[in-house]
Amino acid sequence: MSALIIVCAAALACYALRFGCVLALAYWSVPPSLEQAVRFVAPASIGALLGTTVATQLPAIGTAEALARLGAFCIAGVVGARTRNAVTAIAVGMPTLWALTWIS
Amino acid sequence: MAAIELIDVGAGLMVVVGTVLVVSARLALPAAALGTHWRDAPPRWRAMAAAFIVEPLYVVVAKRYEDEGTAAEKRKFYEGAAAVLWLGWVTSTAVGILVGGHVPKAFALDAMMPLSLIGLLLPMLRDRRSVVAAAVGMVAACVLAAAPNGSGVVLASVLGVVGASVWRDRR
Repeated sequence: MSALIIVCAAALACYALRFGCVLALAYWSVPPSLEQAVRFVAPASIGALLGTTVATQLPAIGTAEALARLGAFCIAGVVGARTRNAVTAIAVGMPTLWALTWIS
Repeated sequence: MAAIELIDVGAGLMVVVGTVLVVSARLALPAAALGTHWRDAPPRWRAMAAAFIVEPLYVVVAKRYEDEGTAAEKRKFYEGAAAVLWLGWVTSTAVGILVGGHVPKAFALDAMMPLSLIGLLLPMLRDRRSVVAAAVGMVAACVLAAAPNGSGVVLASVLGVVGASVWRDRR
């Protein structure tokens, strides 16, 4: 079977999953408690993605570099919390990482 | 990426589709969340909009859906955010393919992913329950990082939502 057909089928399945959820919530009423829980989807999803990324990246590099990254993430976190701006967090985090990596 | 790796080793259609569904299961939560806001949207619009649902887009539009405004205005906002994200996604991917191999490893560009997520996450932590959702999701994802096909992200996201809901109920 050609790779193109497999890729198309996979893309279709991924789309069907999303559209299916959109349709399901459009036609079925959900309890108010569940509807309120929707508010926590964004922080929980991004937190989970962040946890997975950090947990897979850090063990794959050396201790010194891992510590440099953790330091840069913390500093970017403080800056991001103060400015509430993702671009500023990256703009401060990357040079901090390079500096900490160079020092270590 | 999982699909490409499987195709590369000669996996069959059902294996690839099944894996893609498991990896993409995490998108079910944002899709369901947006579905609650799109009940009155035209069916054709919902069908188009569903194609663009990814976590970063949901993060951008979720706050807009909590704010004041008509449903039509919010749909326009979604369309704009989806267009910007899609164009940025395709452009960045093309640039990455063309230039990525020439960037020295010392630049540690892979660190931009967690930094971007940190930047996206922090403005969302508006109250204690949001912090609980993010913290539970993050810790659970670290514990479940070795789960097959990225299923740990799905489970960790669900645990984060449940954790925040339980926290609310106890207060």
